[in-house]
Amino acid sequence: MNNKITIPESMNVIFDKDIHEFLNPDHIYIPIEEGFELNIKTGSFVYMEQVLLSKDNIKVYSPVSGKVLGKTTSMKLNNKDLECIVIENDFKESLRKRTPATKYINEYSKDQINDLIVKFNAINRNLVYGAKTLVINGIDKDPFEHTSSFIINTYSDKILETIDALASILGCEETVLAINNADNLNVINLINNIGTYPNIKLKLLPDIYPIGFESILLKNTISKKQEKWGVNYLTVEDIYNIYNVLKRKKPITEKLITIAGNAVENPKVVKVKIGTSMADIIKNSVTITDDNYYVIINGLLAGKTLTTLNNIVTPEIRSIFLNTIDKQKESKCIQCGLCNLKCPAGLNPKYLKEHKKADRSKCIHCGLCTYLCPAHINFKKYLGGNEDE
Amino acid sequence: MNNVYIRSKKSIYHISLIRILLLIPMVLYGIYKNGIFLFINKYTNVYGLFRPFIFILGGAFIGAIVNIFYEYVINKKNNKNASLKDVLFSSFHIEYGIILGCLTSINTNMLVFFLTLVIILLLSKFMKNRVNIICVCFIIIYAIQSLLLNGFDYMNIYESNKLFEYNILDYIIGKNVGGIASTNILINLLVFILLSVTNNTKTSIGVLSMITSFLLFSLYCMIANINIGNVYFQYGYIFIFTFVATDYVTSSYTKLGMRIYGILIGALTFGFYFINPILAPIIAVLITSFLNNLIDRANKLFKK
Repeated sequence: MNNKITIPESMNVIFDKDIHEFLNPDHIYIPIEEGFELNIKTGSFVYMEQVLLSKDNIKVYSPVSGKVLGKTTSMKLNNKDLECIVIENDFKESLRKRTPATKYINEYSKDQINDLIVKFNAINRNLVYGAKTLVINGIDKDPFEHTSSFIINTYSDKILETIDALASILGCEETVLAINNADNLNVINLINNIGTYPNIKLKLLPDIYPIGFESILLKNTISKKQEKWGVNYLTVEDIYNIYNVLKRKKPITEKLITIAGNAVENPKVVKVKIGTSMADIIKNSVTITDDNYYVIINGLLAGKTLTTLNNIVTPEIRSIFLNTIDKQKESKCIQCGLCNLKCPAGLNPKYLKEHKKADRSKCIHCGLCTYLCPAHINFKKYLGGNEDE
Repeated sequence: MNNVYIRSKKSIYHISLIRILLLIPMVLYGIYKNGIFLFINKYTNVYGLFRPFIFILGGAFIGAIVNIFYEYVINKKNNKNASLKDVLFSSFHIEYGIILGCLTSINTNMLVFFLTLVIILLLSKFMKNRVNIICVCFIIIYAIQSLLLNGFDYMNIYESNKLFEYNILDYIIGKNVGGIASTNILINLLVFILLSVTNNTKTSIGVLSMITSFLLFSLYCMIANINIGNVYFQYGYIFIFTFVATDYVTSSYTKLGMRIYGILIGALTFGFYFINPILAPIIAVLITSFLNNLIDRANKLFKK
């Protein structure tokens, strides 16, 4: 059997060409995670990019300027109740101090880069010093997401400049930017521009699912030897964040998310403030065509349903889908073996479903087995990866 | 909450429908060979003309009725809003009925054939799909026909009236003696390729069972100086490897498991040939289907 799976349904979704913005929500909700110290008081004024919470050298910045209204427990993060600081937006985006932009980002040292990345929350992983390969993932995890594709399309010059600078500062011998070969606009765009950066190799990967997942992308991009020598893996969103941090020395308080689904008339990629409520984003960004929708985050294949719109946008949210749920009844397994043959992690989902104690740690939770199953078995339910169930 | 938002268009309905549609060329040849040809040459009457059609369509009809009865009457709690399409294709029973119609002899007693089908197909609904139902039905029909009635004979009235010396071409285009619609190897192989290309069969089981048995039979025929056609291409072995051995529900599903399963069927077919050539592949598939879980577990051991 053919082991490559393309998701044909994703081809039919037509996205708005430009990145839209929703950067003026009335309120911003910042989750108070365990161990974080509150640096502001209720009723006080906060500047944009002012530190709100801190723990060791991790800091949480305010995405807007305005008044701190206090704490609330009405909001949720991934369906879990969470205490949040509520900031009323004054829509002035007042900054305490404006930092001038740096002219050349390749003049930073390794340590300076690391300090800035940590200080301004540019990425949620540590850079590996001494790694010989730098791999940049320019492919969206879910075939219905377009965030990475839009970032490359809109900021290709900045992305290439940052990758080149980062590779030379980190001393990487090989730098690979992997993109989807079906992403025609970006393929042409990058082929035209990459000549200026001879150290960056453009890797065109087939349009198969789940090629955008870290382990699968690395398997298809570099050799096992290169993996052994150490790899710095980053996404184009990470690179865009690093660019902003290095160039402007400003913390990451905004992010791009895909808003789509079969209940959305005009799927688009929207730039939003981290901490915005999903209800606000949906209300202000898209036209809904079918009221019987469910809110799904991070993809139609691997994503999960939110129980309420009172969830907030965090750096981990890549997409919001307003979609109907497939309610077809599960049939008895017909032993077709598709789940086993196509599993990108080489697992046997049928066996894992039947044996609760079996090791599930290798599962990447891509949802491919559930998508493929002709008996409509929801393997996602049995393979875990969701603590609230 | 881990709900499902999007699914591949491939469902049990699609698999079943494609397999049934691809059986049609085989069925048409069977109707010609055991009905139209005999009628044109005045070997049979109008009833004889429709006899192969009745077996095959009747098999499909019983498969459908069993599904409807089980889903709407016995399992009605779980099927309140199920559509007729979902119920009809809730399992592969329609396909099983057609395959049995293709496999059986034109001389089979109709009452025995249909009663066996009704009872076994219905009983299978309550079992855990461990055993290949087609094999069970066929063995029962064969046993009743051979032991209680006038014997199990594959020859139609035309074939029993003449003496034939078949060559390889005759076997390939299905002129030889065999089940109602299981003799044409050319159509059979084309259908198998189409099933493989459209991912609607367990290709490795079919291919490996054919190759293993062919190699063993070739070796035997070489040593015993026998025409391989008279041994290997008789009794619809290729048809059984294509449609019965690859039954989704009762065969192995892991990559290595399917390979072992296919090889085992081929080898057992060769072994049982010396006991009963007609039942050899059927018993091989039946025994292997009993072991399918074990074979899939063995796959895990190999990985370790």
